[in-house]
Amino acid sequence: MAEASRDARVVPSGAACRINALSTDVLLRAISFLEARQLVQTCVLSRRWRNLWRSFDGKAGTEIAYDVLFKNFINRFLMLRNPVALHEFRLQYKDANLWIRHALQSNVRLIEVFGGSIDLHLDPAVFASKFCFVTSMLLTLVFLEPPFFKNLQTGCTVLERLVLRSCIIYDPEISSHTLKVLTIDARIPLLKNMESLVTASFAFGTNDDLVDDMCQFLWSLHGITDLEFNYRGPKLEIKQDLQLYPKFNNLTTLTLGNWCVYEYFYALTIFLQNSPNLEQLTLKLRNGFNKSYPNLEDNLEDRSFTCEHLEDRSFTCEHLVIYVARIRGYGYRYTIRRYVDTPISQKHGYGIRRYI
Amino acid sequence: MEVDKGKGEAEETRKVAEADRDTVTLKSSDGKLFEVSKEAAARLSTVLAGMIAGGSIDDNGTDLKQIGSEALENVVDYCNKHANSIPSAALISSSISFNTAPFKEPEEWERKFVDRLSHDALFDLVEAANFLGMERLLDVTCHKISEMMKGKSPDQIREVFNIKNDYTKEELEEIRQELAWAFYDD
Repeated sequence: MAEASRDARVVPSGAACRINALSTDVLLRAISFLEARQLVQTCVLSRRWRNLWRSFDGKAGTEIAYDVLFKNFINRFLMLRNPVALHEFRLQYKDANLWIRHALQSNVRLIEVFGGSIDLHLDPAVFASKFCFVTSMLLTLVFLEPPFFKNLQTGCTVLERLVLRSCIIYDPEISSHTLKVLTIDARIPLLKNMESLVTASFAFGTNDDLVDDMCQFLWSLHGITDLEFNYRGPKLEIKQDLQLYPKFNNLTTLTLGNWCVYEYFYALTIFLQNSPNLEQLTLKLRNGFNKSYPNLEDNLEDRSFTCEHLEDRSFTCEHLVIYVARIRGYGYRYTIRRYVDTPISQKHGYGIRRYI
Repeated sequence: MEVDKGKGEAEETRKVAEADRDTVTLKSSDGKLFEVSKEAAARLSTVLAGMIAGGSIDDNGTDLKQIGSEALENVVDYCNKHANSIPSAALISSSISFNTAPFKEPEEWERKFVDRLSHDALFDLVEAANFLGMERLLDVTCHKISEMMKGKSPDQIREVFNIKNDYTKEELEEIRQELAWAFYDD
């Protein structure tokens, strides 16, 4: 708008038609950014355009449905497409199972399904056949019932990334030899055979969301490299016996929420004590944290940890700065105390500091 | 930053002293020379990466006969701007968000970069990006083309791109009937 004279929309009169001169691949790439209806409608522009849309492969991430009125449209759109491989499939609709099956059968690599305000129950049977292309799946606000995870394991044999946001998960158990990235922010199913898992992020609200046994849960994650673990419910029961917990030998990046400071930092202690290769630690402490724990520092005893790779660095997060330093031959000792003059922000908070 | 050297055009007599240069010199169809950081060229263009790896880069200016000087200047400019914007790109890719999608929306600077182009310059750049195998630049420029179509009627689109309607009335009617589901809500 601003530079009208040099605007690409202004075509000199009598100029050549540049767009028709583009190769079919390039032209297809351009129109793949259009929403589905307009994509099909390009067929009337000229003969050159007549069948272009049929080779649509979703590479550009076109959202092909966001309105229930599109049901007929989508059914035909999918049927009349050439059988070329789909790259991406994003969907928000109630009767989605048929379309998801189509996407899977079109060798789709990434699936994103958003249930929205409708009760979208994913049919486990849709995932039961062999689909050797799906590597990423993001499901938001959908219902997952058994044997969803079992079918996922046997059907989607190269699935590496599974993100479940605000899903209602009835399936009690997940097992996978291929998953590298897992994100769940609801009730966490029992994790089994998760030896390939590298990055995981969990956030849940109440004790009921967590698998019954914290120890078992942590054992299923013992090979992990990058872990984010947030808990927003009432006090979490944690067995106070370090021997019960696994060594996290691969863990280099750890992010924990408020819950890790309950019970005199016991959960934090478990991780620091059992993660010898930790490189980055972030504590996400909620606002109001200071009020809930006014005597935090008084309750702390000296604790010592061995984390050889946490060098003289300070790590920042919104409400907390953590200073870590090596002390001759003893690993690390920290004390946590209130700091006032932080260069990062003016907020008060707590610092984990070298014990002097 | 070293990459700034690549900016603008380098006329005929650029010194080629160091054997181990960190830039490559590209020559447009009309004989103008441009310098671009080797690292950025290799990262953003599969064709240039192949030439660099295969040793077929000419220190006196690698001939790119298919690309005019205006388009090549835009290519080089894009490479330099891209190199300078790495921090923000790195930040995005390291976030925990779900970002395996092959296409990411153009960033603010990329939008500005294509928005300032004339109609012809845009298409010259699309063709250059396609020729050089510059996936990201091709996406950004193609995205711009799609934005020029978005929400417009077929007639308006024909006008924007100077597309001649070579259908007969009967053919058009036939297509609209065949694909009625795409033209009317039912």
